[in-house]
Formats: sequence, C-alpha cells, structure tokens
Amino acid sequence: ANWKYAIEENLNEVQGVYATQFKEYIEANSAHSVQIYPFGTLGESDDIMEQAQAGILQFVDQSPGFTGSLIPEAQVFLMPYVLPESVSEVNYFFKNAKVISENFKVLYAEQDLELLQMFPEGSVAITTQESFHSPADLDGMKIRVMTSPLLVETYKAFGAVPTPLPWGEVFGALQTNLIQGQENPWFYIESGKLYEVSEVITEAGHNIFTTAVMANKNFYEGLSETDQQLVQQGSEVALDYILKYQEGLAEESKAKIKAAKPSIEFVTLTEAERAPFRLAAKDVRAKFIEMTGESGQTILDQLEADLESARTN
Amino acid sequence: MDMTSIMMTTMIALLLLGFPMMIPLLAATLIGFYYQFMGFDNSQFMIQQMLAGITPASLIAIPMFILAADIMTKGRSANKLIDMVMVYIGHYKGGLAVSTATACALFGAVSGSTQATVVAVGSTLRPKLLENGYNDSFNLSLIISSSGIALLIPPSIGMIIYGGISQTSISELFIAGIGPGILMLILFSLYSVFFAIKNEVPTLKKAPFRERFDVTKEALWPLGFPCIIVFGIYGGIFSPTEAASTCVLYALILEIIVFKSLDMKAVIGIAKSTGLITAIVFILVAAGAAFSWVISFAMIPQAIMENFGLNEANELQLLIAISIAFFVGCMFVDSIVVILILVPIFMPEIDRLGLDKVLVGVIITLQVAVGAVTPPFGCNIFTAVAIFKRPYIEVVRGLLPFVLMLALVAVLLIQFPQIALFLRDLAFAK
Amino acid sequence: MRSTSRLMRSGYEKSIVLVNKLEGAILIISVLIMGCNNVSNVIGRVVFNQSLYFTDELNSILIIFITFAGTSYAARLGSHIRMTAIFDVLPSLYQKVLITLIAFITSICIFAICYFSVEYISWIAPKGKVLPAMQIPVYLTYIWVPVSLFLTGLEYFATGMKNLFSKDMHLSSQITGDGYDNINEL
Ligand code: NA
Ligand code: NA
Repeated sequence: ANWKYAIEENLNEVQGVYATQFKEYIEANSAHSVQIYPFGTLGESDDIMEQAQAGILQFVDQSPGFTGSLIPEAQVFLMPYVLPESVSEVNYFFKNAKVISENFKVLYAEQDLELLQMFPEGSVAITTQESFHSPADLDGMKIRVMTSPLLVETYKAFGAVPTPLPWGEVFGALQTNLIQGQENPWFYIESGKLYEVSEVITEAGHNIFTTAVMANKNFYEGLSETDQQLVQQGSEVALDYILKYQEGLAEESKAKIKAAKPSIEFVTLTEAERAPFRLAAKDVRAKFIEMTGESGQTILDQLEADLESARTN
Repeated sequence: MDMTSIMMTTMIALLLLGFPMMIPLLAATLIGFYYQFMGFDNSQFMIQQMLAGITPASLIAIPMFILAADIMTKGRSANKLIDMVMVYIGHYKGGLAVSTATACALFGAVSGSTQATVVAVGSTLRPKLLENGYNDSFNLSLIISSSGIALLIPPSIGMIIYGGISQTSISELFIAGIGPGILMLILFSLYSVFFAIKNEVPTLKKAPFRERFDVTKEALWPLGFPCIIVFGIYGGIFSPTEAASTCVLYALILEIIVFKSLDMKAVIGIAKSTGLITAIVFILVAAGAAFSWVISFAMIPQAIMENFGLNEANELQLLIAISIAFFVGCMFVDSIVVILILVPIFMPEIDRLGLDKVLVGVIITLQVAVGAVTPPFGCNIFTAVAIFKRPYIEVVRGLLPFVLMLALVAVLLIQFPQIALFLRDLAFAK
Repeated sequence: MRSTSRLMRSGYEKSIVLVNKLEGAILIISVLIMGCNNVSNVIGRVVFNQSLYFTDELNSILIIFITFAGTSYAARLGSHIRMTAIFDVLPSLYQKVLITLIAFITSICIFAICYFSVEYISWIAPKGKVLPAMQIPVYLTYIWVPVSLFLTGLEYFATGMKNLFSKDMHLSSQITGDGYDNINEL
C-alpha cells in the first residue's frame, strides 16, 4: 500500500532525515511505499495531527510543543532543565524511557494514535541581539515563543517578555527589532538563516527539542503482524540513525553559521550562570503540575526515574 | 478523465458560467475529495482546511486594513488627501489626470484593495475629470489601472494572502512593493500629461496660496496613515497586523474627535460593511485553502509542473511561467482566488530553485494588477462596469496604453529585480 | 391551498428579517471586538511592553464568526463575487435559466459543505482539544459555521425557487436583477 507520512519540517531537516530513513527501510523491506509530505503541504502542525487521528494520514510527526492543546502532559518535554545534556544520557533516555514506551503510549492511544518513537532534534539555543548571562539581562527583551502556555511561563520566569508570534513573521520581526530573540534547535537556526538577523546565539542548556512519531491507531492495529513489525523496526532503525546523526549536528550547524556570518557570537552559559535559570525553572514546574494535575505528576515522576537510569547507565 | 482534468474543467466551467466564486473552488475540492477517498467519507477535512485557512494570525491584518480604509472613506480623510493632491498638481497640463493616479497611490497607501480604491478615488474624481473635458474611456482606464497601484503600495491584501500561504515575511513584501508601485505611478503620470497635450484638455486654475495652505494643513492628519504603515513596519515598531490596528485607532481618532465626521451610528454601519467585505474575501480564502489541501494531498502540483516541463526550468523560465499563469488567471478570476490556487502549485518549484519569495510575491502582485485590467476579461473592468454603470466597451476602449505600460513594468521587474528589492534590502539591511 | 402558501411566504419573509438582524449584529459585534482586541494588544505591547496572550485566539474565533455569518448575509444581498462577463451578454431568457441553475447548484453545494461541517464538529468535539491560552474547547468556536452554512444554502434554494415561480430575475431571494448596484453600497 502507499502510506502517507506528514512531517513538520523540510526534507533536509531532522524530521525529514528521520522520515526518509523510515521510508527507505519500509520500501527496501516490503512492497509498501511511503509518501512524505513536508512542512506546510497539508496544513499546520495541528492540522496534520488531526488528519493522522482520522486516518487520512498513516504517519505523522509532531513535537510536543504543539501537542499541548491535545495532550497537556506532552509539554513535559518543553520544561526547562529537565532533559540531560550528555549525549550518551540523551541517547539512552530516548531508546529506553518507560515514560515514552508506557505512559505516553497510553495518552496518545486515547487520541487514536500509536506512539512509535520520540526522538531528539538537538539542544535548543536562544538567538538574541545582545548577550545575556542572567535573568536580569533578559529584562524587557521580547522573545518569540510558540503559543504554549508553558513556554510563555518559562520565558516569564527567565525574566524576558515572551511574545507569541506566527512562524512566518519571526524572521521579519527579528530584522525590524519587533522582537529581540527566539529559541530553536541549532540546525533550525542554521537552515532557517535565523543567524542572519541575530547577533548572539546562547546555549543555556535548558531544553532539547523533541519530536514524537505516531501512526494512526486503527491503521496500525489493522496491519498484519509482519507489517506491524516492519513499522516498529523501521521506526527503530530511523531512531538509531537520527541519534547518530544528532552527534555533531549542532557543531556542524555552528560551523556553518560561523562561516556564513563570522561576526556572530556564541555564548555557552557557565554552570554558575545557569543557577538562577534553574531556580526559575521551579516555577515552571509548579505551573506544569497546575495545568496537568495528577496525571502530569505521574509523568514527571516516571520521567525522572527514567533520567536517573539514563544517568547510571 | 483523471481527477486533475475533472477538477480543473469543473472549476473553469462554473467560473465562466458566473457562479459565485466560492462555488467553483468548493465544487472542485469536493470532486477532489471524492476521488482521493473513493467517496465522501473524509470530506469533513475540507472543513478543517477551510477553518485553518482563515485563522492564521497574519491574515487579521486584512479586516483591520479594510476597517481603517472604510472609516477613512466614509469620513473625511480620503477626500482631504484627494484635495491636497489636487491643489498641488491639478493646474499643470494633465494635472487632473496625474492627480487621479497620485490619489490612487496615496489612498492605496491606506487601502489594501483595488476595489475600494476604485470606489473611493473614482467616485470623487471621475466627475471632475469629465467636467474638465477628459473623455470617459480615458478616465475609466486611468482609474482602474491606477487602482492597481494600491495593490503594490503597502498595505496589500494580495501580499498578505501570498505571505500567509508561502510563509514569506509580509513586512518585506510590503516594502518591496513600493518601488514597482511608484514606477507605475510615474509611467501613468507621463502618459496622462501626453494625453492631455495631445487632446488639448484645458488646465485648471492654479489654487491660490491661501487655499494650498489650508488644504495642506487639513491633509496633514490623513498623511499620518502611510507614515504609520511604512515607518511603523520599517522602524520595527509594528507587525503588519499591528500597523493595521494602529491605523484603525488613528482613523477613529481622526474622524470622531478631530473631524467630528462620524457618530456611533456611522461606526456601527462601518463595522457591518467591513464585516461583509471581509467575509466575501475570507470565504474565498477558506475555499482556496481546502482546494490547495486536496491538490497537495493528491500531489497534483508536482504532476502539473512535470507536465509542462517546469520541474527542470531555470529561474528565468519559472518566473516567466509564473507571470503568464497569474496574468491569465487574473483575466478571469478575482486575484485572491488566483493567488490561492496558483501559489501552492508553483511553490514546490519556487522552493527547489530557492527563488527569493519576496521577489516572486511582488512579481505575482504586479501580474495580478496587469491581468485585472486586460481585456477581454479583467476583474477591475467588471468592477468599473458595475460601479460606474458604463457599458463594457467604453470601459475597455482606452486601456491599451495602460496595459502596455504595465507590461513594461512587469518586464523591467523580472530583468531588474532591484526595482523591488532595493528598498527591502535597505530597510532590512541585507 | 393558496393561503397556506402565502402564509408560508410571509413567514419566510419575516424570518429573513430576523436572520438579517441577527447576522448583522454578529458582524458588527465581531468587527468591533476584533478592533478593540487588536488596538489594546498594540497599546499593550508598545506602551506597556506586554502582549495579550489571548489576542490571536480571540481573533481566530471572531474571524470564523465574521466569515460565515457574513457569507450568509452577503448571499442574501446577492453580493458574492461572480465573473459575469459571459452571463451579462446572454439574452435574458438564458440569463434567467442560468441564474436558476446557479442558485440550485450553489444551494446543493453549500448544503453538502454544511453537512460536512456538522460531521467535522462532531468528530472533533469528543477529542477535548482546547485553545492553549483561553482554555476554551476548540469545537465551541466552530458552532456557528453549520448554522450560517445552512442559512446560506437555504438562501440560494429560496433564490432558485423565486426564479422558478416569479417573472423577475432574482439575484437573491430579496434582490432582483436591477438590484445589482447593491455591491457598490458595501
Ligand atoms: Na495598498
Ligand atoms: Na484581464
């Protein structure tokens, strides 16, 4: 059969690389084919999610930042200073986390979706016009965020003025100083040329951009045992590929950015500088629990248990 | 017949028969859904896309600009601008005609639509042009062609819609439209002078200094609109939607407090007509979004590009193909509908070649302006027929020189993209 | 028999007046709220350095109301955009046949979309999706869509009937061919 798979990015970006790996595996190991629909062709992130829920699409990618309105608990992946920074811990976490394979699997299933994988797209960096080293430096700075209440809360706690803005206006708004900053993973800052309209790119280590890969539940359950295995293996092969692909991706993007704009300044906040941001993150955690209640608490507990085992492995 | 041919044939047939324009789009979309899903089972997603099509935040600039222009037109601002243009250039050879073109450009700096400009400027200045001996064919041609300038001078509804579906910065599009807009104004003005000399149209009396002073003073207030838009966006104070909202606030302050020309009852009437005009535009945007979803889902754009060999086109070839497609499209259909149908079809190729989407947007907007005034069909022509109640033949008789000038601008723009990009690069320091 | 049909007709005329008032009010209120919403947001951001988080969501709710209520209202005014170059040169008998066909086919098409919108809303309602900032269930913001579409379909059906059963050519159930000028008054 011809399976339709919509993603939130272009084919040469991380989600596109994952989807292409998945497609190649499926097509090499079965008579099925996969049609990938890149960003924008079938609507915004919310639209393709609904289409996957209805089974018009067989597969879909959505980063939890957009899933908040449907599954509020998914915003746990937006919380600052929760996910680890070390590559081995990150990789171990995404391969083995029970919070993904058990807790979230159930939450997504309630939405008619079979959660296949979650994968990282790299650490989130903040682009600004002036460097910052403390929440006080961010005072009055307008930072563009997605319209997730948790992200708004995060940047408020960080001392900035969170400004929700549609993606299409971000580039222009940075140029005209309507906003002074925005956050995105490194590869996206590079491919979206956001460095052209920013002076400083800061790694505060506060988050890793995460994406969920899902199949329509009815479609998945209607597959033969062999095909289900095929899909599982395909999604795992692609995950392994993307974890490898991740290593050095940020460095590669940084090098490309530096080559394109030598005047750009990279800042990595020191552990001491991060302390007040970590402290501010506590408020965000309280907000998360307030928004998601008991279920959110369970998710958070399991996530932390998973992170603990990632640390010790 | 395959799905693509049936969709396209149905759409064109219904358009030509005179169906309300949402219907050809919706009917073609329904056919597309039927073919894709072998029945109407998933057709509810057509509604998802209709709703998704009208809810992007950037599109809110459209009702706000319509509201601001509506307040201006129903109040005194629009006429004060026209008066000012008149006292300065009215008395030169062809001055009244040049004033008309300039007033269109100036009013276009507040209004985003051609039709509103035709109504606002045309209904005030056409009687004066007639009175002063310009023949009506020239007047009508001048008015509908000059109204196209409003499409290029920011704000522009066409650009807002293009920016929304192509993910292009609307601020950049706005700034880039100014150059070609002014070029159009210059060409039209030169022709107007030439026409006046050739036809020995009498000139107006020069306005006395006192009158000039008074009229200018009066027009200072409404001149704030273009400043809000250009410097607001250029200076990084406003996004396009915010600039539009500021224009609304400013227009209300002017008309209610300064000029005392509108009362609450008038404001309510304006709100209603703004709502109606917005709905007429947005139902098309909604239908267009559903249409473009179903053709994307069926991979029709790629198939069409391949059919015409455009999947291997170079930049120039693609730009020419885009120009022709939009030109022809706008002969028959409202510009918004054309943008909604054609942009998604060309987008994969525009992306493949990495074309500057701002330049593409300006070229498209210009073609829209050209197509809309080119006989035999042309949306502005029909608007003029309806509004001024003149026979079709009289409206189109004088159009040829204007169409030629517009075609010249189009060719120049493809040859020298800097006409559009110069200001953009300056404003955004590229 | 005759009196029943007259009664029905006058009932229809009365409800049209009512619907016009209602949808007119929706248009006016929505546009005014939208204006206030955006103006306050600009003032908030420029003067107080503080955006309103619900601005975008409120705008999308209002634009849905405006678009659909306005579509139905515009149908009753006969002011939707049409390409009439060919239509206008036809002899009046052909015009009348064509406008009747246009009205009925349009009506069918709109009723179909109306039906799909009910399907969409009933599909999405149980999913429990909410607007992130306002925390309102998303489906509630769509509720007026099928109502307006139904009224639009009904209007085109009535236009078709008027054209079938009366001498004049009707562009809408209330407006005859001479009422073309309405477009200008907008
Ligand atoms: Na304009
Ligand atoms: Na034309």
